[in-house]
Amino acid sequence: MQAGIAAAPKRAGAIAAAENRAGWLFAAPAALGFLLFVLGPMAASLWYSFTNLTISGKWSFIGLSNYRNMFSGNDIYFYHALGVTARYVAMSVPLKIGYAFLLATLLNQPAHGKSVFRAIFYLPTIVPGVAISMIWMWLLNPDLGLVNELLRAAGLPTSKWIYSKDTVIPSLSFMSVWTTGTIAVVFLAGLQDIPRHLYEATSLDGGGAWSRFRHVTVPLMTPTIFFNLCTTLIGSFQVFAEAYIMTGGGPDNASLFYVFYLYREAFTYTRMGSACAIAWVLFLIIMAVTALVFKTSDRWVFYEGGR
Amino acid sequence: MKRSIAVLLALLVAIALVPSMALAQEQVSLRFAYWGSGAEKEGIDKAVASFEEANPGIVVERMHIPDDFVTKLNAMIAANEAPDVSYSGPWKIQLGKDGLIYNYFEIAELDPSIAADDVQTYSWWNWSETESAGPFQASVTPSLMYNADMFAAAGVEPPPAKAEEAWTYDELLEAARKLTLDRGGNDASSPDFDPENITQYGIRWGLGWNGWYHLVLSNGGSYLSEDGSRFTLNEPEAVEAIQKVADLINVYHVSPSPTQASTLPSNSVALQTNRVAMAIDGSWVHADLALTEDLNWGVGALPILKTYESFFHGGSLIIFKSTSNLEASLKLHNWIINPANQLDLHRGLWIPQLNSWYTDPEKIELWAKEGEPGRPVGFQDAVMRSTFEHNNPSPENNVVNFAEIDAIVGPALDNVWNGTMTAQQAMDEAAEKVAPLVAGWTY
Repeated sequence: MQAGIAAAPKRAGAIAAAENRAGWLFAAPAALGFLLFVLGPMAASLWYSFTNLTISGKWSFIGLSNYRNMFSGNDIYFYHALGVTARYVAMSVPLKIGYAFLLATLLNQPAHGKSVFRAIFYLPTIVPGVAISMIWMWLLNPDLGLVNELLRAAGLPTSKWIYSKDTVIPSLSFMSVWTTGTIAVVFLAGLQDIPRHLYEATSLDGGGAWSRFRHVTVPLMTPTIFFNLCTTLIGSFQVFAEAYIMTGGGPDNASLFYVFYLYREAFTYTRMGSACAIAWVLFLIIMAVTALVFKTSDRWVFYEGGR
Repeated sequence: MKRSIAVLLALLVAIALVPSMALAQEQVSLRFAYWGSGAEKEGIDKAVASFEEANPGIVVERMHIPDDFVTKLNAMIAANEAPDVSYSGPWKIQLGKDGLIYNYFEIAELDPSIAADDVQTYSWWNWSETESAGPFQASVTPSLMYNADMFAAAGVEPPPAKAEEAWTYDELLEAARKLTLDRGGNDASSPDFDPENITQYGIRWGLGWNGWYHLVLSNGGSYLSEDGSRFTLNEPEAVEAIQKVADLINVYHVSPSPTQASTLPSNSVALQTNRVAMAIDGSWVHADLALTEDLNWGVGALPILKTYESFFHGGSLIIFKSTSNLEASLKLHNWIINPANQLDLHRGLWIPQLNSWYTDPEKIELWAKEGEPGRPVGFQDAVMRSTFEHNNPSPENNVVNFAEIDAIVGPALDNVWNGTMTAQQAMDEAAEKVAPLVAGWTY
């Protein structure tokens, strides 16, 4: 008896140790993958951002020159690309979040063929970015595109869409709404997590559809909105394919997104060191913006039962 | 006995080793990286196969990299596995400065199959006066192509082939007006013409630098000042030429704007389907036109403002210093860039970069024989002689930092083609931005 009692913690300790080992083993591939294929290259790129590395692999240490070049305005594209990207983020993120939230709310209603609609709205998300860009180039074509054709038929004014400096960013933001399937799916999962009894309680208190939405759905969805906001922000700062395929950064660099500018620096002008510096600045900007969102989250994100 | 067996065995071993040693000595293995689709890949593959046949000791591993070429090449260089011979873009200059590739001037005499003095004067990619990343692999040039049936239908004489008789801008404009039609069938010279509903354009003018630069030259303009110290596309001669191209779009409505052009098919198809009557585009389009079944197409001399001017441009192959066998690499390089080994491509896609192929009647017959699918009647005057006799350096391999300067000039010109700025405004703005990049000529 005595021995039994004494042995129990020991056995538990052995099991814990074994579990611990297994845990480390299971985590190892991901952790190793991160260390070897992400952290290593990241560290290297940070180092190279202080060099003038070119395509040939030769480099010498040049200190902060790459960064100075960007911030001093010597590189005429840096601030411009930042501005273009900021405009895109400011326009597309609210659009995407708003639209996906609305979509998820609708898809959460009891209706016939709900799953069919869910599939349909998710479908664009699995289409490759290149194909999406090609489709939209046709749709947005000012002369023959479907969008202008519909506007003309409705007697509304048409637009040059991605072919004009003033409308290219709004057009691309508008287009980005099409592929919000993943965001909508996350919202949908969040919506289904809301306890029914809260809605019932609101109804009993005489609350209509709007107060149920306003006082139950929205507060309980804030953690999901917060998550989607962070991932969408990060994703939108990294917008690339649209500029690469549809506009080439034009017209007159009006859609020179930051990552496209980075790509051009690396693979057209083959200034790898400078491209690394450009990449690190974006990384820091995204970190700062995400931190800011986290900081404000105390004020508007509501966790059921506290944090 | 034992001893003789040992001797016999040793002898056998020696005999067994001989052929493998001989093979090891003779067999050279090269790696060749290239891009290009369709006809170009086919032509290159053929040339490589014939090279291997002619050089039994050399095996060429072909690395066809259709996209992301720089990324992949970069990875190969980083891993110390650079190919021996490779296609290259303007970034070859950087490779040259970093000492990764051979200076062609230094190695040329190792293989005399291409005589360096037969290469056209301006057909070199050099990173300094004495160092070169090689001669053009082949050339291309701006070309005026037209659909002859559309001219006949409109009762307009097609553009002349001889440079001396080349159309002036005004003559071109007059023809283009009659060849531009709206939905109601009115041509652009008619008062009822509706520029909002154009179904057929008189001319589509290439709006990249290789489309308009010959007109700048023709007007006495230039990319940089003579001493190479200043950007001069904002000076009157150049501005006038650029504005004239834009006026075809925005004033006379005989040419599509970039937006309108985006709805048009490629030039070979646009000519075939009566969407455009004339196109100024690269001579590589001849290869596509050669494949059209019942298109009655022709080539004319380029339009001029003052004098007839044109240029050749092209890429070059580079040889990496890491190659295991320089002589074999150079041999492969020279084989591939020799028009004699690329006759199929030189009958459409490309034109030669060697002087003798423009002067020796036997060689001309091999690539420029008129009446062949890619070489219509008039070709020798309109493309071959007019370019050869009025050749200028192309800015692409003559303006230092051209790729970066063009990345500023090109987008600035978007505003001119769209009609939101004059050529003067756009080029004045560009001049300020490119000033820090201007670093002279290479020739």
